[in-house]
Amino acid sequence: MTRRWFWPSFALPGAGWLILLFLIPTYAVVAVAFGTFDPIFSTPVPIWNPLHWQFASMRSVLSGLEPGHAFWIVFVRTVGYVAISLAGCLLIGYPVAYYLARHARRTKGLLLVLLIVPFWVSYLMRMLAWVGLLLPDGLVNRTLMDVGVISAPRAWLAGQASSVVLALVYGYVPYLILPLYATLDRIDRSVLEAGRDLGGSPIRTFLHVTLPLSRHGILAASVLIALPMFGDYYTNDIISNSPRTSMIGNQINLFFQGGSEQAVGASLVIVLSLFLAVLMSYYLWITVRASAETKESLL
Amino acid sequence: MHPRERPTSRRQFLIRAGVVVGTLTGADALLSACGGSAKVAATTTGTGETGVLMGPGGIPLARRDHPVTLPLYSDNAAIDSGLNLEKGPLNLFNWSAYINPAVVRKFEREHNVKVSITTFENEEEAIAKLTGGNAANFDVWWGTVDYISRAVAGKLIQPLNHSYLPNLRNVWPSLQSPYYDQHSRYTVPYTVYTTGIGWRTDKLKKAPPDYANPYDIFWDAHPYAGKVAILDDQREALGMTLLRRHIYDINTENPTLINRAEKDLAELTSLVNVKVNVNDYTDIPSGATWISQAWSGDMAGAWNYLPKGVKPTVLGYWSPAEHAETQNDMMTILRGAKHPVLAHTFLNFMLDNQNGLENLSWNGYMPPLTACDPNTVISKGYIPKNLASTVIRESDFKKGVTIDALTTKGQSLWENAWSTFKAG
Repeated sequence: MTRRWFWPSFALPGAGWLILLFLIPTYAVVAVAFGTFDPIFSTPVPIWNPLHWQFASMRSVLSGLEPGHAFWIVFVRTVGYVAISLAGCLLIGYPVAYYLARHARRTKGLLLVLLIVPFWVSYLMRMLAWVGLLLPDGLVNRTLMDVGVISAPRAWLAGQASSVVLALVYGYVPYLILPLYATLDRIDRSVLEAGRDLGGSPIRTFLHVTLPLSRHGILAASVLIALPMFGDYYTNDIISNSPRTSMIGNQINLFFQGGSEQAVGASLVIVLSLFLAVLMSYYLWITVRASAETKESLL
Repeated sequence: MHPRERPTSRRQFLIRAGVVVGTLTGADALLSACGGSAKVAATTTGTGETGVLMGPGGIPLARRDHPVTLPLYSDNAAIDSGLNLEKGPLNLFNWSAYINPAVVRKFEREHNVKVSITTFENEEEAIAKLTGGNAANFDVWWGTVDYISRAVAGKLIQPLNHSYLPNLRNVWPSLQSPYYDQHSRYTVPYTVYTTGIGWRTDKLKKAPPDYANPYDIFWDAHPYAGKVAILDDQREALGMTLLRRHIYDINTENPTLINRAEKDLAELTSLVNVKVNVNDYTDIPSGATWISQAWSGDMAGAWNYLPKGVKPTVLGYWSPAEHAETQNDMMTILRGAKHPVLAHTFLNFMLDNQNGLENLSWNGYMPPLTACDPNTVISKGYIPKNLASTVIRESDFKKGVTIDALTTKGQSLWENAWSTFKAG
């Protein structure tokens, strides 16, 4: 009996952590979303018993999510920004990860350290550094004007969607490269050699062997960065802070800052979480299917 | 550096993150907070029998034409007169960068006590902390008009004993017994300020005062798209659009007016790609913004942020002679204060004319003290002559309009309009 519980007991700290810092807080958000507010201070009053939940805030959010309404506009914009940023991260990150896994030999250690270096500086500080670079008389404008790309300084920080996407790509690309590198590095070299032996050119081998084998890595890395991007508000706040580029995270932050509408903020969190849960389910389904296929091929 | 809200700083980000984590993890705190206020009479806000808007706890909402005497409660009495000073430390709960450290050190020296300052970035954050069980950790709290009646109804603050406050006589007569707290039962004023328009005189072809309606400059600023900003404050920003249309009740709860204010503001997004922040005091001097809705106190101190070699004359500030948005912040003593006598002494110290002027010299915000007249402020070099429009006289204050507390329903209307505008 003792032996039976010995190894599973190792999962207890993790399980406790999850219950304490994930399940209970998540339920607290739900209780706030379906709760009421203090009549004097307007602070949220969570309702813990589902039988007493109130749905006015959620109804308000759902009506705002109808096409053309405020939350719909923000939601579509957020999906667009995240999709473009994700594509940008993949375009930059995949070649870097591929080079690290396949071609960097002596320099591999150094390059990996360089990839980790950004983590030594807080995300916020790195974003603030971009503010200096993107100022009207900042380095970016001066360089672009010097090489003749633009004739007058561009107002990068004045509510430009391109600046927000650029900042998102810059901020999240290191988080994509590392897991992608791990996947590419694990691909058996003999499989690649087989591709070559069968007459495949380097490009054909890449397209028909490396890329399919790294598909799950791409998916995992994409999920890893897309999830926080969807909830990101501070990148936008620092780089733009214009209603024109407002993302769903900005709206949630707006409601959570105070006032009597914090339940609306909590309802938005639930809607966003459900949307992300759908994306996660797809990822899990792909992973489970791949695992089953691997087992079948081994048998 | 302004009373109502602050820009996103790293610290603010961390605070917000903390609030989020707190919201997520602090189920008990939430419960206790709710329990605490539930003990208080929880009258629903609305309109009273006399047509006066009722606020939390059944306290009428104060308006300039409807002054309110805040209620006293038997279980929340003022301290007795003639008590000895506590040893301290005195714990202040204040906006960040809103009090001159030199003035605080002077108080420490005079009374041989330590003063500890904890800061907040907006009033909602302060309330969340105070109702979350932290009220007993502080002695003095800086409040705003729209939160004072709530703080009284929730018994967060204690009545003042005026025998410790002889310097109250230095305050403008109209604020010795202000409309939001007749007889200064719970508060003493700290600063006064207007909301107007700040601009770069060297960049604009036509300055706000050159317009028949100066607020129109925001809607006429196509050539300066990307260089135009409004304050990231729902009441201030939406309120400005009402004033532009000569609607002077900026506390209206009329949905039609609020929706139109939102639509007017939304026009600025498409017309001039308006920025929404509270960086008026740094962005105008740096040239990042050329026209901005601004607080007088921010503009009074903005010349300190000018790049080297740029003269203060490049800065301009305008607010209307009548119906300007005028506000005042106040100091209160928390009900659970451990050093109430010291707290009263501190309030009295800040109402001293000289200390008030020294505080103004650092934060740009005027104390409503009789000694702070425009001539003194400018002759002492606290504010450049071309920014004399940032100085408020009592007569200006009387002619202004104020952002006051709303009913819960009204608050919800304003918040939803702001959220719609911010959605872009």
